[in-house]
Amino acid sequence: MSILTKQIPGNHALPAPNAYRSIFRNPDGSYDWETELDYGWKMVDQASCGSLAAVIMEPILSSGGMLTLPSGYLKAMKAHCERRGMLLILDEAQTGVGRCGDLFAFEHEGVVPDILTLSKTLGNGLPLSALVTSNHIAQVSKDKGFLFYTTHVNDPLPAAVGLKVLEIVVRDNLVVRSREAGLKLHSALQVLKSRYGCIGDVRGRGLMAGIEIVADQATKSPTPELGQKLMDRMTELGLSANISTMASFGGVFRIAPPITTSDENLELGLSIMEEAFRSTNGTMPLYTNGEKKT
Amino acid sequence: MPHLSEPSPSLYSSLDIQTLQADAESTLLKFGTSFNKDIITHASDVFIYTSSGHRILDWTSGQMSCLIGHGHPEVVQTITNHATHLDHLFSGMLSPPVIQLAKKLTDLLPEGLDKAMFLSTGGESNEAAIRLAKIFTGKWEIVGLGQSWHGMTGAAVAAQYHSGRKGYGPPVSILTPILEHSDKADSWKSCSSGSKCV
Repeated sequence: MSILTKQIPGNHALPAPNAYRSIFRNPDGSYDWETELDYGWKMVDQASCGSLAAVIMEPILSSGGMLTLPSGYLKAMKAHCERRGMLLILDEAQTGVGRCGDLFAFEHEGVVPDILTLSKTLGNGLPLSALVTSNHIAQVSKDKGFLFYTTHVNDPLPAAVGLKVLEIVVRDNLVVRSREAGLKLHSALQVLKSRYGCIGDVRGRGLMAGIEIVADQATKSPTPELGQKLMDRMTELGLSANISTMASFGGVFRIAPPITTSDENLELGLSIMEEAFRSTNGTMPLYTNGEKKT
Repeated sequence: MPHLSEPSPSLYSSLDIQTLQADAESTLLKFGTSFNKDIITHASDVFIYTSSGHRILDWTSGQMSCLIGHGHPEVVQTITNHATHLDHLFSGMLSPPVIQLAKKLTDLLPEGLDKAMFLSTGGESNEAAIRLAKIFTGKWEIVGLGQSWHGMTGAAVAAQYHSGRKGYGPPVSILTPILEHSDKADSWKSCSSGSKCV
């Protein structure tokens, strides 16, 4: 067989689960993620050269706009993988080690991935990442000659930091802290959404939140300029909250404070945020004289 | 209500900020983000400080990383101790913190996540994960989600659909001669350009 009959290389995409914007809807208007996921897999199966190895995904798509997975999504994804003899790789760079109110975000979904990767939060700012897998996958891969030999593999200094971070998170009960502070944060952000017409959606879990800025709550049309103005105003007032700008997507504030944040500093951040929305033109206040319009 | 406060003793005080900003413009390569004009000279707990003393609450934990705050005293002590006594080794050698971290991490994880290796960045760990999945399954197609982010290295960025795919050729580098995957799941054949692969 000629090599030209084979297609190379093999990367495929499924639709990102975007409950706010997906065009896949149930008759009642709710997000029909199951049909979307099945439709996506149908396309992948058609495009595949018959060599599907793995799915890699984040439990909350952070850079993509803090998209949380619908309930049951990860379980369905794992079943899709199993049907095709594929592994599920979960990238918990941002969600791992307590950020989302669970020690690991997959616990919330009731699914154990075949391979877990951790990075950002594990090293608390130092370059440290981890790959964890099963005894079975480790053994088979070793027998087949798995090679990933590199200068900083298993380095003592960053590993010691990772160990210390895990010890502190467990000892100081920071997962519970993240969950409780997260409830406060999300409830305050919902209040903010009820006060400003430019907030289209608030999402996330634990101390990880996204605020999507729109020009109009009904049409959901993006307004990256307003997002940028708000971010600049927040910085001026003393708050750093990253905004993700994709032309097709509009601006989403991505919030992930340290999980050691005190209630006092949580309230400080929220008050700066409110002040930025109040004092920036175009945020469409829904209240008059401090009261919500009826 | 800008917050001005005196940051605790800074590594970088009495700087010529304008010169630094000019040097940044003339010497730093742009890699996809615009740089903030302010120069950050200090980070502590949940705050960062600009050279002018402007205090900013860090609600992105640096690059979403400082989980327990900047300069956590116990982390600082751990870094100091290990920088002094046990920093970096030949890759085949083991040290207590590596074994202890693997033990602690896998104890916290459920059965099925039993064996760990440690690398430097998220992109690198995803690169290793994809390589592991390929050698385990004997297959090579990777599926990712639209708008995903997994890192800037070869296989990681190839499975990433958020942005940055255009202008770099095929997402995974294709070796020439092209590699042919035979029907036997875990064997690969090399075919010279123009010759036939059976």
